[in-house]
Amino acid sequence: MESKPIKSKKTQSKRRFPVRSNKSRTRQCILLVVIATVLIAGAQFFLKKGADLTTGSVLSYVNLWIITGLVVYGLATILFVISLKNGDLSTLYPILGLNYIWVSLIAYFVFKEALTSLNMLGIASIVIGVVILGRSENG
Amino acid sequence: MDKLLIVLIMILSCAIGATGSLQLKFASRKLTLKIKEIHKNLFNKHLWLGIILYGISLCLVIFLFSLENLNIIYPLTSITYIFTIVLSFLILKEKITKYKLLALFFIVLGNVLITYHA
Repeated sequence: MESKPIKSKKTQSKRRFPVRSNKSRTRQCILLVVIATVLIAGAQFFLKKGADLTTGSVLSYVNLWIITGLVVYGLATILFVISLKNGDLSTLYPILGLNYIWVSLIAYFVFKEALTSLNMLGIASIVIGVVILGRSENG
Repeated sequence: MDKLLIVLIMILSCAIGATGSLQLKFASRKLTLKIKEIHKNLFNKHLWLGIILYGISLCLVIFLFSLENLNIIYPLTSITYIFTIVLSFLILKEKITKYKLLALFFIVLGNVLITYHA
């Protein structure tokens, strides 16, 4: 008689565990994509630097800035593919939009481009979108 | 360069990029992270196809970067999200919840606001 409740407890914990690990897995996926967006922003900074050096000939596109940019882009792609293993493309792809926040900050601090109040509203909007995705996936 | 032509090249680039992300999703299903099997990833054809499609998409963007300022090209890259969501629904049969659509709306709006310079 005593063994029965113990068994039911075990089955309960077995049922709960996969659900919890799925939630934390999705959270890990989202975190990986966030790291990937930082790398992509870095890569795009290198590509912009490289594109500024081009003269119009095809050979001028092969410069150190563009090669570095492509390598960093590759690393970000590997992180993204790893995250896709356990997550929906329709959930994880929009999170790449965080990239725009980092790029706008690079444009402001490095290229001295203007950051208007509309731009800041845009940053807030992207954060809201990513938070909605994170909350809805984690329940 | 003609503005319309730039927009058309960007839409083409976005379509190629979205197809690339779909290939990466296929690639992730066969991806192995075990150290002993890590070399098998080199023979993952979806991974290579995805990278090549991303590369083509990226080359088009680099080409436009060299012609125009970052600010004009960037708002147009949001089109990739719409292509990707449609492909996830049609081909991967993923559930498109109202939260995903709401989040997509905020993220695309944010992208346009960030890249908008009056």
